[in-house]
Amino acid sequence: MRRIFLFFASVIFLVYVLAPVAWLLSSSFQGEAEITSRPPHWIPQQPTLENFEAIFQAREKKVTYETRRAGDPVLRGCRRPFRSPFRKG
Amino acid sequence: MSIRAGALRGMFGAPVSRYDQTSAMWLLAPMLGVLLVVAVFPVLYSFWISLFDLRLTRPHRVPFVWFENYQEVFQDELFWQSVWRTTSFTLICVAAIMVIALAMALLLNEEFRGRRFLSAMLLVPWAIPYVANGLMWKWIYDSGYGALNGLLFQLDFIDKYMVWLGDSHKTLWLIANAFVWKEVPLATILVLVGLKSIPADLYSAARVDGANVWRRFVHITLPALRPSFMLVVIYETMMAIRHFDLFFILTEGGPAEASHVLAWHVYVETFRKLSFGTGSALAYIMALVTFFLAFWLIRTLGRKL
Repeated sequence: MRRIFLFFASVIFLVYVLAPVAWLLSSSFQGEAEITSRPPHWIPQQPTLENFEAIFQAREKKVTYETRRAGDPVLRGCRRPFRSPFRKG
Repeated sequence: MSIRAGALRGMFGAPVSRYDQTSAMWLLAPMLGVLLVVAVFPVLYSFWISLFDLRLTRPHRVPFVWFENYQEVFQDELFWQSVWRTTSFTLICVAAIMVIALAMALLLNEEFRGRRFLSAMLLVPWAIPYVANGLMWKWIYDSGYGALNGLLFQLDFIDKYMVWLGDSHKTLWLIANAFVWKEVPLATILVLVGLKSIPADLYSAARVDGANVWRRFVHITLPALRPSFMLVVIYETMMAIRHFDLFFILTEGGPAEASHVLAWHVYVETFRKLSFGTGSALAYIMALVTFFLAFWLIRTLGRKL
């Protein structure tokens, strides 16, 4: 009786503490297509390491506001898309 | 060899029993200097700023206005609404943290296989940085691809995907949930320390007297845990009042000011409206309120120990 109670309490405990992190971990091994699927895949069906690759093989060593913008595919390396009319020179 | 009391003389010829006070002061001086620069100066400077009508949109004219900033803040209706929201957020969080932490600590206080594993797993939420925690919960609550929607939909609790953070009635509760999840481990450890320090004799004596589990819990465990509870309440109250990160990441005060709490109000005044005068005044009011609240909590709860 006591063992069963402790077992179920432990399960609830673990689910509460670990579920969000487990979801985070599972998402980190999913590709773009899988991560946005509906309903979500709780366990990655085509696990990839591309997300980790993207982090460790980032071209710019130092990520600043400018370098981030330079590597941004949307802005295509355009450093200053908006030029303030108040700025001289 | 022992040092005779009264043999050493300190700064003004006063007898010093244990150590040389002058050299102690010199050793403390560098740290004191650092503290003066990084802690004391900003506090005093922000008070000085709060007496000026300093707006970065109008940097050339900074009039000295005495306490008009404070007056302006108190007349702002949004300020009082944010005070109310902060109060309810704090109450929700502290109550939830107390209940969950007590349950978890009671479980971890039992002897069974896997207890050590559970204690280790307890540290996971604690180890996650606040910003990472915010991003994680934002992804979980996401209206299109979030885990919460997916889970509830698969279990048939909801018949269509919900925009969780877009519902002004739920927002504060959802942010409170993220905050509680992050804060529970520390509270659990504090309560667990309290539980461990209860002498086992008390329980055996109560058992001899014929007290059942519930009575032993109410008459021994709860009173003995009072110091731990006090610590948890004071610490978590202060953390919840000044909490900013989750509001910034999850909702930015939205939707329609449903999560516009005091800390967020300070941020908006200062860095969005660029009104540093009222922002500093607000920060000062918040600091004073937190200080007096903590003081009052320690006085009232501490007296009953």
